[in-house]
Amino acid sequence: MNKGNNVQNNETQEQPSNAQKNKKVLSKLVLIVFGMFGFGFALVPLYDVFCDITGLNGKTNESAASYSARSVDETRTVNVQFISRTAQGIPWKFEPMEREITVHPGETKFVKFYAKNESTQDIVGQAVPSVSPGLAAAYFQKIECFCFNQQPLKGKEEVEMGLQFYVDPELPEDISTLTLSYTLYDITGKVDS
Amino acid sequence: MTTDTLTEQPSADHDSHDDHHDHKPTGIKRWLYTTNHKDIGTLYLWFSFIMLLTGGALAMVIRAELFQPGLQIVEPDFFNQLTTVHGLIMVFGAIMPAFTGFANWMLPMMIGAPDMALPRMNNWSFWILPFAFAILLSSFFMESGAPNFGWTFYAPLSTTYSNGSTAFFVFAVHIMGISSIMGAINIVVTIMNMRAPGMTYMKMPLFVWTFFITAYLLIAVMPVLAGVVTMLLTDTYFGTSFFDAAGGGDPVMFQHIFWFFGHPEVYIMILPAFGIVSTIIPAFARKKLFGYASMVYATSSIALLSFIVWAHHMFTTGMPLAGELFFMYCTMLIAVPTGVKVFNWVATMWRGSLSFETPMLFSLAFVILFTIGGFSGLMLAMTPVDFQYHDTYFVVAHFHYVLVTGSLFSIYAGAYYWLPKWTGNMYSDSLSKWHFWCSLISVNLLFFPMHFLGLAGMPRRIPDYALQFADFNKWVSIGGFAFGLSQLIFLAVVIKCIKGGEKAEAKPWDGAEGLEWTVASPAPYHTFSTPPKVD
Amino acid sequence: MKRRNLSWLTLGVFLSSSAWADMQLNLTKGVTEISREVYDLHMLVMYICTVIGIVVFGAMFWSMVFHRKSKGAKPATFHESTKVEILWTAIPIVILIAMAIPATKTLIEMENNDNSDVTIQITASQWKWHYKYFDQDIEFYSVLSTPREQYENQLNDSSEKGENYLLEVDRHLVIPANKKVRFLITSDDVIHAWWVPAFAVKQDANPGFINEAWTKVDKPGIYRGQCAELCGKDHGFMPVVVEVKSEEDYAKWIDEQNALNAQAAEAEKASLNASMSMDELMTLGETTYVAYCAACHQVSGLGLPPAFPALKGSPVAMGDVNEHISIVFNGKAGTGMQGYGKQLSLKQIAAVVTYERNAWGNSTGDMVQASDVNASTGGGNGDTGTSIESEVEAVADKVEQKTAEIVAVVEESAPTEDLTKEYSKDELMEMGEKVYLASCSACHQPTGAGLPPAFPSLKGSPIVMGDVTAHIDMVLNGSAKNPAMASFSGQLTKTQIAAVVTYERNAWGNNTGDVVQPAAVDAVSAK
Repeated sequence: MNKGNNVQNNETQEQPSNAQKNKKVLSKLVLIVFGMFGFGFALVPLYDVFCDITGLNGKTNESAASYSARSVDETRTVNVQFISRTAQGIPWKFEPMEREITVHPGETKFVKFYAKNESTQDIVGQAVPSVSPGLAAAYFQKIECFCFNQQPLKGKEEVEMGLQFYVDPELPEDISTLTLSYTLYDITGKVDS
Repeated sequence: MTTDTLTEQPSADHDSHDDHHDHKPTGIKRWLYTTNHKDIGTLYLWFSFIMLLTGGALAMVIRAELFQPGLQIVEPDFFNQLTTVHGLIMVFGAIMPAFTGFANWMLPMMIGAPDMALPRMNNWSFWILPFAFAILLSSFFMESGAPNFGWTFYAPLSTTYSNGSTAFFVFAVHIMGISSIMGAINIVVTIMNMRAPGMTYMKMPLFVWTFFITAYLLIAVMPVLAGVVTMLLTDTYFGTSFFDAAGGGDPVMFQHIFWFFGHPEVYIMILPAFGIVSTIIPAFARKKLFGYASMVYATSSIALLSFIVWAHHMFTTGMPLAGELFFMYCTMLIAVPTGVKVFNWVATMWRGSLSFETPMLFSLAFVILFTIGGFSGLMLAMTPVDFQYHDTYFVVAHFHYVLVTGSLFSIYAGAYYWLPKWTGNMYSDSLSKWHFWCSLISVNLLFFPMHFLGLAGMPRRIPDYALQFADFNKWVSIGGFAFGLSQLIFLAVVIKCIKGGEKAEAKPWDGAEGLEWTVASPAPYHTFSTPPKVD
Repeated sequence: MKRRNLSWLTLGVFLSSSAWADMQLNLTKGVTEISREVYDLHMLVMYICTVIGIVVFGAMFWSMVFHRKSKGAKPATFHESTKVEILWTAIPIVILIAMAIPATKTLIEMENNDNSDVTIQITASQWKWHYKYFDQDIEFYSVLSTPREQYENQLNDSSEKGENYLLEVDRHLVIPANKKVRFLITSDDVIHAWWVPAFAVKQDANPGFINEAWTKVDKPGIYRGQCAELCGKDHGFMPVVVEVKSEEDYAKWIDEQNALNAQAAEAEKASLNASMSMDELMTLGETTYVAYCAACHQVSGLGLPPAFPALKGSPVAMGDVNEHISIVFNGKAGTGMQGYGKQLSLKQIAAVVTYERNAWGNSTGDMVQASDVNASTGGGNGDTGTSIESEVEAVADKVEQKTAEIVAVVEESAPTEDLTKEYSKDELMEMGEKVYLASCSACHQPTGAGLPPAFPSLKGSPIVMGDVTAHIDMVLNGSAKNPAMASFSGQLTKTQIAAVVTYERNAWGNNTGDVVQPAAVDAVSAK
């Protein structure tokens, strides 16, 4: 009992300051917690920016680039390979009409991809590009690409889709082959909703 | 909004309580309503031990399945559930709560405070934990089954291709995260505000320092984990595409965010172990810790470095060369402060006066075996070679050396060191030494051959393996069963010790230092109501 | 005492039972320059760690032995020494730099994917690999070929495990030696990782993105690896097998594959005209189902809900046929169900759909023919531009042509067929090889390795290596158990059968030495 009283006396003296101090630190820490939670989400756009700069994941530009190469570098050639995949569940035939072309950096080229909706239903497709090596992605400039838009196809409809691009002459010297891969996804459901 | 209720002047409330009853409430209510740091510490420690046994039981099934080639006991899908839940339980249920338990019991006593700064929040942070694990474990009994995508839950295996357990998993992880964050906040506030007069930061025991730094790490990265599981949840159920290439996302980004949490998490599980061992070794070498200041700096630099090495878990994901080099160099750099710690411990023992009580035995085993885990970590840091080691049993061996013979052994060392203070009784010396030697031998039989398996090319997380891996797996399984059984000896030691035994003095170890030894054994329910003077 | 004996006994059993000699303890040196560099790097770090370990643990054990209290050691009081601390910070940094230099060098080489000679596209899916040769029309799936009985020990304990248990596939990836081969790696569903230890190549396959890796192997041979990233249920059951051939053999292999592709395309078109009976469909359907679908949907059709739904009574299997065909052919987005259009023939898809609609009490009575599948999906591998009618016509032409060829072959030998004639082994082998390539290789493959499980390997097969009469009978009359094995008595002459049987019994290392004469075939056919 004696001891209990002691406790009370002691703490009533110190309490206001202590509790206030605690509250101050606590609110700062809670702020950090929320800040870090937000930071977790901020990592998403940050990652995209980071990828843009470094070509980390081989994502290419998502909207049209305007042609800005100063000149065509005729002394150098770059092989550009095209590959395609269709994702699960999309009944389309989708392939490049040319497998590989050779370009000079700075030169504009036009290639076509063929797509056909093999089913009788109307389907909206979306091609997602990826470039390897990832570093080259930043130098692969699409002026016009079917992948900028969704591609709706009626049942049994077929289409030839164009891609106009140039390879930036700034492309690092040690890259002589780059591969552009398209994966085609069915986004009908997402478009509807 | 919550902060108000949580900071409500705790000790005042507590005191009026005491005035009415004079004694603490008894029975289940004592434990449910308790705001006493010692009670909560005890709860945390018991909970983590139960979780250790649960996660261990899952590991036993895994090892039984891997005892010989072929599928004998479980289906591959259930095997994946076992490995996933084993990992989650051991990380979030066994190791982390055990350290929080130590923090609760020891921090106030070490800094001369009457209790934790926020006792009510302390109660909450413990009592939501059992619910988190109840949710996680209950998924075993649901139609979907338990999470089967590995404790690292890489998208899209855990989103589009999950077995339907994602929601439970995310919910459970959120609760664990909230619990850890509350625990960490409490530790920081306590250390900042409740130190006895005269105890400056550089006079705090190293144990306190490591918990202080760990708590900051927790506050920094647990919210990121919460963020990433939230994205996982919306990707799975609400049609977002953070990690889905079809919608413009990137599955590799998941790994970046996850490991941004995950690597500091690794240090969250080892820094407190450094603190415990740095307390015990000087006590039984009867010599001051060689470099207190350098230990503090080493711990801080490990913590800081841990934020810029995360992608060494991802060398095979197709990073550009510059990224691989950067993360390789940063990772190798961590070897320097870690080395400083090991050298410090050895220098502390050098020309000391060593005796080998059980806490010391576990600490010595910790130093050697953790260093072995550190060596394999250094090997893994080398990007070109990591291409061969990555996702093989070599990695499994590495992180078990660091987490079992590292963290878990330090927890045992700490438990044996402070058990007399907690219970007031000495534990059976011979039984505890049995526990040590059985664990030491079996744990090496369990994890050392895994290095060979990994080098020979056995991938991790497989329920069945090619024939050339059969012999070692047999040994590993036998080691596993033995190690599992050995842990029951610990249970026996603790129960015997609680029930009675030779009465412990206030300071049962002649070389021990620190405020906790100035109070009686067992430590009274309330200690340091009057703060001690530290000079 | 007793217990000790027991433990020695157990130890003895383990030591004797294990083939210690075969056991690999260390990292493989591999067969490429890179893999050897990686190995050297691994050894370097290991030696450095060992030396540091000896020094540190040595100091520790020294004090544990000589500075112990029980020996009366008095503790020294020294602590904090800036000199020592700078030293033990600086030395590790120097060591680390020494390690980082060779590591950086190797890494830069590893990441140089440029200037390759051959490009191969690797696509992972749950739980198989798909290989596509970039500049050839060659593509195929590579699936685990270890029979289910060998690993499902709950069902059958006695099944002996083969030499390459869980590390064998139906079709190897074939690459040339001494050429820089570049791999473009991606995935159709979850993340996988393509790993061959002997090449020191491990690269994740990320859905929607491509990754690169390369290798240049100097030694022909067969190299095995596994998927190295948890990818779901059968992660442990998707091995990688790479066969490295010399340049000449590789060129030969490419030609062979092209020839086979042409044949397969014809067979596919021919199947459009063929109509199968319900029984035939159900039998072929069952084999196909067990081989390709049962891993997830289970042999019982009950699936493993909710990830892998039951087919028994399912709305898909009982509902609209076209919907059902489309799901099997194209897969279903957002689920684990992948498309089998590229992996199975139209006939197999027709059969498996028929099977699913009629097995386990799903008695819809629906029958699906290859042509239905083709109509419903627009043809998997056929040319898209042409209409079905013209395709069918073209096929009919080709079938006629083919029949004419066969008839010509038959006629060529028929008039001269003399059942009593004794041929030399060389003559039989030469003729047998021709007949085999024309009539058998589409299924059993020119290599004799077959396409298990539907088309078993003849290499080392019990039938081919076993009783001659049974073997002749099988070729003459087909298999009662496996409908895929047709009867050849109508298509081939007895001399041809004799030749092909002789060939099969002596080719691909099946060196039984047996020589089968036409008379023997005649005797069997007379029974």
